[in-house]
Amino acid sequence: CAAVFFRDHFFTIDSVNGSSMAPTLSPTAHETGAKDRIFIQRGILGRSDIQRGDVITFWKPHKQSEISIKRVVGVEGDTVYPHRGYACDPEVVNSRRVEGVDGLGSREWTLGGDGDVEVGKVVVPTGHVWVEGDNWRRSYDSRDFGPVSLGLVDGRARWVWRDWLRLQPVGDERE
Amino acid sequence: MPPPRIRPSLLLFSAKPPRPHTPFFTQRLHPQRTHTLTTLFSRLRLTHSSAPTPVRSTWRIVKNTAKSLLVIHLFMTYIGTIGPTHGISMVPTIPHSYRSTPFILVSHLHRRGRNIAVGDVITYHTPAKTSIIGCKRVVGMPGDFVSVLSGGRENEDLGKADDEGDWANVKEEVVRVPEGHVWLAGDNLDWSRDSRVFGAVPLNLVRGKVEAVVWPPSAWKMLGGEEGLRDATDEEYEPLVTR
Repeated sequence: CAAVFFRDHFFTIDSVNGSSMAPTLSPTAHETGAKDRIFIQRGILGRSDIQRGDVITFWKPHKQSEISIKRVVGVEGDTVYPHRGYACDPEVVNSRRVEGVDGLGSREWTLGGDGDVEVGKVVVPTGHVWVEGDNWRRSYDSRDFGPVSLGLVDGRARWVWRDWLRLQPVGDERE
Repeated sequence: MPPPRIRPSLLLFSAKPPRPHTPFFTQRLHPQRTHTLTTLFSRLRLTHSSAPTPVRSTWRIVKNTAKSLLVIHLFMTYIGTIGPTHGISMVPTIPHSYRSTPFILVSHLHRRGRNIAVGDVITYHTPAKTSIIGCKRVVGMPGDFVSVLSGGRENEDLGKADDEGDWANVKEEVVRVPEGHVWLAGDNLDWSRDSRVFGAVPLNLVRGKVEAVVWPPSAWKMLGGEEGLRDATDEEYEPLVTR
C-alpha cells in the first residue's frame, strides 16, 4: 500500500519509448534501442505550476490508457503558431466543427467570434497546455491532437538515469 | 512501461515479519491460517501485548491510523467512493433539492474510461478546470455519430416562453466523436453544460462510473438496466416537467 501511495504521489521511474524526445531523452533509441529511464515527479494533477519548458508525462487525448511524454511549450493564454497540423489546415479550421477546447478561434457571432478564423494560430485555452516533442520531425503532439487538458497530466520528469549520471531533463538551452 | 496492476491481495499483506517472542509466531506455523483478515487484526492487537509506554502507544496509534488512512485512500482511488453532487443537469436521474445533497456511488474501476459504454453515467475532470469534477451520461463512444441539439439554457433564458429566445431555435447537427474521446450529455438537456459546450472529452479524463444514487433514500436507484440504455419504442413519451 505504501509503495503504491509513494508511486502515485511522489516519484515513479519509467522508461521512455520512442524517439519523439530525442536528443533530450532516449537519444539513441532509434539506433540501438537503448531507452532512458527517468524519474517522474507525480502528484501534480491540475496544479498550475507547470511552466514552459517542463517535460511532462500525460495520458494521451487520442488513445485511451496510453501515456506519453513531451515538453510543455505553451501554457494557458499563450498564442502558438504551429508549422504543421490541424491548425494549419484551412479545410479543418474553416469547416463545420465543434467549437470546444481546440484553441482555434470561434466563428460564431454569438460566442464573440468574427466569422473568420486565422489559419495557423492557436490560443491555448484555460486549463490546457501545448506540448511538443523535442524531435519535431518524429513527434505526434499538440500540433496534431490539440492542447492537452491539465487533468490529463500525470507527472513531471525531473532526472534522467542513463548510466550512473543524473541530470535534469528540462535542459533548456534558452538559459 | 505501464505501472503494475494492483492486486487486491496486496492490501492484506503487511511488510513486517512476525516477531518470534509473541505467541502469534507459533500460530504462523499453521499454513492455512496465514494472511486472512482475522490474522491481520490479531497481529495488530498483539502488538499492544508488551507493556506499552506512553510514547510507544502513541506511536502505535499514529502508525495504525496512518495505515488505515492509507488503505482507505487507496480504496477510494482505485475501487470506489460515495460523494456528493450539485446541480440540476442530471435531473431526474440524480435529483435536486435545496434541503439535501444527493450522494452517488462512483466506481473507480472504470477510471480512464475502461469498460465504459454508451448509456453509462460517468464522472470526469472537466477539461477547462481539472479541480471541477463533472457527472454526465455518455452518449457517444469514439467513432460514433451523435445527433447534437444546440442550446442549453443560460440564466438570461429564465422566464422566457417556448416561442422566444435563442434556445428556442433548436438546431440539430450530426457529429462524429473523434478517436479516444466520448460525447457527454446531461439528462436534463435544457440545463446541462456538456459536450455541446466544451466538445468531446478525452477518455483519459474519465474518473469513474456512477453505479447508483444512494441519497436521498427516496431517490435510491441502481443505474444501468432500466435506468440505462433501452431500445427505442414507438410509444409517446410524456414530458416529465412541463413548467
